[in-house]
Amino acid sequence: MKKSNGKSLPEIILRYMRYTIAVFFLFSICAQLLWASASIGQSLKEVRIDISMNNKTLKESLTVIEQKSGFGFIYNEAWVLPYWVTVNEKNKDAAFILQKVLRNTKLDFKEYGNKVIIVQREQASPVQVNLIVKVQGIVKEKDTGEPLPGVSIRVKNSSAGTISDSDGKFGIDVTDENSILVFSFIGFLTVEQRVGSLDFISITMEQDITSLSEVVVTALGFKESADKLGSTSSKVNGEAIERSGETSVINALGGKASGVMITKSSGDPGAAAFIQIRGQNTITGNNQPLIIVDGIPISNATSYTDEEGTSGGVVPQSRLNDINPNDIASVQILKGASAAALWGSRAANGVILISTKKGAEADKVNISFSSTLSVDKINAFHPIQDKYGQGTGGNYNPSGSTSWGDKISNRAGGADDVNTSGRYFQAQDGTLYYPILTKNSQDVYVDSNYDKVFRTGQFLDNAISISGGDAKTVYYFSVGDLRQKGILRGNSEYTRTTVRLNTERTFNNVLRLGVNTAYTNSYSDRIQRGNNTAGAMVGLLRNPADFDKSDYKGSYFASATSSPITNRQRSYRSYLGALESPIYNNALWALNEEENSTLVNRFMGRVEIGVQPTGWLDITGRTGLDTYTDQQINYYPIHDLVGAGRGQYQEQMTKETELNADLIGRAQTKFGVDFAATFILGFNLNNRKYDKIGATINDFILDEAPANFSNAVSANRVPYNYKREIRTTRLYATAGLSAYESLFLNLSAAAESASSFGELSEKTFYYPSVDVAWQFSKLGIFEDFSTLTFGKLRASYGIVGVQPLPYRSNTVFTETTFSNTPWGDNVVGGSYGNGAYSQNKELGDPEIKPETKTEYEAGIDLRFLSSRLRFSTTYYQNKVKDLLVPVTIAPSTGFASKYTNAATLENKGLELDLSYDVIAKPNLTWTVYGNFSSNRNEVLDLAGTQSLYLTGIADFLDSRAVVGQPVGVFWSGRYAATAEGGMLLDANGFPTVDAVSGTIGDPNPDFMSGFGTTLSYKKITLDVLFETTQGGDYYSGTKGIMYNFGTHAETGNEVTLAQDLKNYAGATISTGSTVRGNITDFGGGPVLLDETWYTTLGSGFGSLKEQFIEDGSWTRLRQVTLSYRLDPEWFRKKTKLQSLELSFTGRNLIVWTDIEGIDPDTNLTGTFTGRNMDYFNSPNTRSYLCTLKINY
Amino acid sequence: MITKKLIWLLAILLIVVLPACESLVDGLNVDPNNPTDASAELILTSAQLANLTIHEGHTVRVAGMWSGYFTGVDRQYKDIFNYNITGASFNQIWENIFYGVVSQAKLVIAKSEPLNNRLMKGIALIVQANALGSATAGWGDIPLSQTADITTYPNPVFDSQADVYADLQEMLSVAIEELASGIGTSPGVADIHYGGNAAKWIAAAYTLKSRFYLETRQYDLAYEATATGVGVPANSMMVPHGSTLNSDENLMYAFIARSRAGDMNSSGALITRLLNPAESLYRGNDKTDETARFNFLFLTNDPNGIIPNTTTGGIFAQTASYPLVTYEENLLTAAEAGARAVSFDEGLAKLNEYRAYMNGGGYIGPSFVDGAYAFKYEAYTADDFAPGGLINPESLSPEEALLQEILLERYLAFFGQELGFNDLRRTREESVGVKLTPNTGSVLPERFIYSEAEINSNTNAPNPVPDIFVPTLINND
Repeated sequence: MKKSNGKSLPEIILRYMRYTIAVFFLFSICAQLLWASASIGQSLKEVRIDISMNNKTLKESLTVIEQKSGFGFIYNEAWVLPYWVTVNEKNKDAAFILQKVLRNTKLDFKEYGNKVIIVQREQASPVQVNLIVKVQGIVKEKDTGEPLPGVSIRVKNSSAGTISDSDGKFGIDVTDENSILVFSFIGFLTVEQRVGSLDFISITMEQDITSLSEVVVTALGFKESADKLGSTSSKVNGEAIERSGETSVINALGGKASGVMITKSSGDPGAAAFIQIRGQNTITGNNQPLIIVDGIPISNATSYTDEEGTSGGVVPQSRLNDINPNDIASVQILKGASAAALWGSRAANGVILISTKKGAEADKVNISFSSTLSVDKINAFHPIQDKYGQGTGGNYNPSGSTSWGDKISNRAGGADDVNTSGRYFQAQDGTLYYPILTKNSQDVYVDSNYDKVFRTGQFLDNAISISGGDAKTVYYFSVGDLRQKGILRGNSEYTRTTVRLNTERTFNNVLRLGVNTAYTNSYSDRIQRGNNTAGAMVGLLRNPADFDKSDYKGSYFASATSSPITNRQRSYRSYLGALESPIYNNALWALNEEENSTLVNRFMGRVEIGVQPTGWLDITGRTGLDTYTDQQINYYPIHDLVGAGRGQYQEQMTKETELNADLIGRAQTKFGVDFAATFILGFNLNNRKYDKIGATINDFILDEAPANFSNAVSANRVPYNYKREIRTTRLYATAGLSAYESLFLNLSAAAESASSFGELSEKTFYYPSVDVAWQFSKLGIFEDFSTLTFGKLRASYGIVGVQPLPYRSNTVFTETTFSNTPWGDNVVGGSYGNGAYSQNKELGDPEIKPETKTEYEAGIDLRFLSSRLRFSTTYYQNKVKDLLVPVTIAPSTGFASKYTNAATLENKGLELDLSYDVIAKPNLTWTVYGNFSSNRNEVLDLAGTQSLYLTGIADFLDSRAVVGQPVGVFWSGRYAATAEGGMLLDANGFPTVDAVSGTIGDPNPDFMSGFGTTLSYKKITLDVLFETTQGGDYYSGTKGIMYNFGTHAETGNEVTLAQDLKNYAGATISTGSTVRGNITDFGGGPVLLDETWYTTLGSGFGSLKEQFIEDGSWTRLRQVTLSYRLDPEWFRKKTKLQSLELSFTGRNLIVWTDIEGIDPDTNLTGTFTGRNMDYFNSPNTRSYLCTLKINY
Repeated sequence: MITKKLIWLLAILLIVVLPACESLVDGLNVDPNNPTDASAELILTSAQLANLTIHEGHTVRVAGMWSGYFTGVDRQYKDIFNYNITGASFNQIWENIFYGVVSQAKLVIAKSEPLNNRLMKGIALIVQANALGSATAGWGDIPLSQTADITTYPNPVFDSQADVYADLQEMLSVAIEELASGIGTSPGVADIHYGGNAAKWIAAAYTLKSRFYLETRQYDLAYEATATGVGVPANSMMVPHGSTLNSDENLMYAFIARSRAGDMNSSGALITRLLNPAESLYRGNDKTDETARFNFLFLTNDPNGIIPNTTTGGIFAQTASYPLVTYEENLLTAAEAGARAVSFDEGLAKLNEYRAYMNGGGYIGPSFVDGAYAFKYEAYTADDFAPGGLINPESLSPEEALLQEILLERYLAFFGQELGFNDLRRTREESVGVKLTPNTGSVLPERFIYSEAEINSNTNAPNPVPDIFVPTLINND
């Protein structure tokens, strides 16, 4: 085999270092270009010099001081010309000398880092140098006592100013004791302090809760005031995530941010959820946002899917679930292209930045323990009829496939007549089942079958964290342990143990080091579901009312005298266990006999080194590693449906490693008091390696041997493996400019190369962005308009992309497998001749390049009434070009598809966020809040293909991209229409199906919204959150199939006819007869819907799927939390505890929807593009949680 | 000023560092999982496997439900049985025909021609003709002249069905010529049907020619071709099968017995009523006993109805070979074409040749003819076809009676093959032949629906798409 051309890790590191050095080198050139060399880290006052100048020009004097002090002087030559200077000093600090030199001029100086700018004195102020009160001090945060770096300190009514250093310390010279210092910092209340006689001032600053001048994290992980940004992001704090009661970070975001849509795949423990930010931005690429934890991108792969959709098997997990929600300090969602542009071709779906908790300087160790117990119940289930028995045509048949049999109440009652002379089944508990001759029993098992399948689920989540630190070192350590049992009985469970240690050390003014490490061990076992005849839901919902599911396993005796065939499965299609494979699994078998487990061991680490060689320059080196192994086992014993009753076992090991390194230089500077700039230059290298290896064996040699590959003959062992490596390098730069603290301009650009681009495509792609923010409320005209506290207009533009899948630039040859869909098996080349290879049906594209999304957004942020009322809105519009799609090619060309940049789509949307502090008193606060978002998506071009299959059940009901429609519309058989557009009915008044499939529904919502309220009285807090999504279509596939099987409650109805009616078969049913069925009118007069309808065109299996498209809108009481915090003085003294918190949460308590039988927040196709499809999905849950949190 | 310097700096950085960035990611896009080429032999096997899916899979199940062979009883098959079907369900088969067979076969030819491997070329042409013949019979007009050449023909035209048949005859003639040259290297076991035996391929090509001539009603040419067609049962072109799950099983077995058990059986199907001695329509007579064949084809004692026999030894057993071009087809084509184009006597002689073959067990599984079940196929005489004769109670002309009997034999022999559907449609308007009543409504299907994948992507595809009740060109007289 040809070795991959990839470079080994040491090579990468070496090369990476080489370029790192180049970047450093260039940085230093940059520094020298900008500012002449200076005594690093010193101020003018700290440099002592001797000087002797007699009647020299000012220019000469300045040159001497410049040389002796090492500072660079910048001045306008015209200003210094008129002056002559005499000065003689020894061992005086340079500032003092400079002041003396300039004493009799109209000039003054300002010190910026290592440069000195000579400026003109304001006005023609009297030459009165009232030198000099030197003030030193420290700024701390009031709540935590932590020093606050970066606080702006200005002398009121003067141009002098400085910034606190990384220890919160500052030094400033003022002219007199009456000078007033103004301390300001984003997110904090501004403090004014008269200097007075103090020479050391200690200032505490309080967070400004009302201003909501939120501190956000930029794409690169730097903190920034949201008020200075021209792009939007949504922030959800860790407390809100904890309070949601969800075990997964993704689900915890539901309803909390505008423009962010979270769709669950099911209520199974650990199930993945689908995140969509501002609509669909890709058609076939990875549609999930990039997840960055503490500056490091991590894998959010959904296992079992490998970036592909899944509809069968078990619900996928999401690797994002590996993060303990208790460790999260905040989650921030970068929605727009400009905010995310620095992540280039991985950012088109938005970026989610997760910050984990850090310790804080404290005089004690903070220990926090929390324990949550959750009780989960099914929140909706399909109604099942219990009036009619198994069989067809009104006749009982004990092995019939449907429940269109006899009326149960018409049976004789008592025990069935059975034939005890021949074959029989002996259950595990000894119960004997014989062939039924006459069905007499009127017993129905709808409820008992349900109870045998479902239980009350629960989880227990314990977490302990230890945190603290001193002035130089902070640490946060936590252990979390989650144990969950699903609502399905049997093998449905999820356990997760996490350990995290975050530490940060500041060595001195120059060097700091941060190390984060996290380890996760998770295990889950899930039940087969979906369009999978092996699943529990299929087995339960197709089961006739008169078949008792218990005794699902036992021995089959083919005759009275024959020896038993052991471990046979008994199900309603095989009630004596006579079949080797039972057609559908008994739900109890699926629950208890199968194993579908995954065991994940994951390590995430981050090392960040910060170097601050001078006050204005900050260099950050950040390296992250995210690596996991996932061991998946699928075990189907003999007589399971999977493996045709002969047994099947699959084991697979997946390993994924993502290595990421950034080197970032950041320079900050001020030009006068009114202008400031921040420049960032960085380099990123990212390498993702994926390996999968596994094998499947079929047809066990020994029925009950341990799960091992040796338990099959060699022809029935199929090993497989798959490898993938993607590497991306990126060089990026940003410039943030501000003027008058009210106008902000941010520019950024990333240049990216990636290994998955085509051989003939460009090597480097550029992702520019620009945003501008204008705080217009700072205009003078608003000073009198006191209602408006803050107002900002913002606009942004940016380009982001989606990387092509790797290895798609060539047309390869693949081992031959011919599928025989619909509903057929495969033919595999490996079983014939010398094996077989065929040219891939997908044509490669050597010119493949990333998809690019260009987005414009504009918005306004307003705060009124001292920031008690906060409002923000954003309109955005984006166009995604060069979408990578496997363009369907007419098969007659010899290929089925070409993966290429072909399609175009666009999104337009509006987002609103509003909150209002109705009451804001110390002991009583009441806030109401809400968000609203609406997105319109349209596929503009599909390169000639009319419709493109995305996911779902192919050629049955699937999700597609169709030109002129939103991505993901439902595609299947639709009503045939008359020329006038009405329904084309057959002679009997029933609808007919169009021979050509088409769009039958759009699952994308018209709008969605989250709204709620928080009420706090003293130590009691009540949180209520509602969420709604309106206008998306929903495919009720389960219901349609239940019609076919005659198990749905509606198919158990009886009607008495008031007139002669036709049924679908054309028979006339006469007036007065009472029959099983329903009457409806399709437009041609009333007709009778009976077995002839429900099992053919009216069946979910039938070709007319359009009849099962419904309005999937829902509104739910997403969450209610009542919490109480106990922390009075007496309690603290008595217990030595800081506080104790108790909270009760109800999650998903009420759902208002027209969808019957299942909570519509579920999806067959997992995290893939399709949504709102129900096809035997596992039900969702409603939960009641109780949390106790103890802080020491 | 500073901004200017920064821009300079950035420019320098881009010049210096970008090539470095690019070189870091070079060479990583070579697929480590799949090769970029394969040998002609391995690709030939692929083409043959694709060809088998066309003749054992979805198309023959659908054709069978519309030919009185199968009954759709559950899930999707109930709806298809009632003539509700969309083009989407033919996407895979259509892809297997053109991508799977035609495109791969053309690759084999392109790789063989420079090596002058005329044997390989001949085989590839016949496999192609087999698939395309079934395609044109099922769909009518199909792309042929412009297929599998995407750069020149991104939208291949649909050639008229008549032209397709003519082209296929030509394709087979070329194949026969190539094979007869004696030049080439045998693909050995990579040829899953004949192991590279040129003589067997030539015979199969002639039988295919006779099949196509019959379908275009060129009976004289059909008769002529059968003379050099498959001449012994052992030379029938069969698909070998094994017992590896979802890999090499008999596809009819996989569907009926395993993956979609219960969806489709043969309860009430015309063929069971003709073969079941207990039925009024039973075709047996003094010289004919169908008990063995009935039990070979069907499981007759299952509580869920009459089910095609997927048990060991049955027609659709897991490892049972599947017929593509057979000795019995060649004989029965000779019989029909002989009766129509040569003489009554010639037709009868060929029919009796077939009956003699069946009387020796024929294609019926050995375990059904080893004494367990009765069977009898004695030779007919001309008297049997005379008005009022053994098999002419309705007093047809002897010619008509003979043709009726031959067409019935063909119908019974082609259970599970598309040939039955083709015969029914070809002879629907004639006075004799097997007459079917619709499963629902009053009309019978005349074709498959074009694949939606093709319709959606080929600007030259027919528009509007003909529905299943529109006869194809050759049957539209």
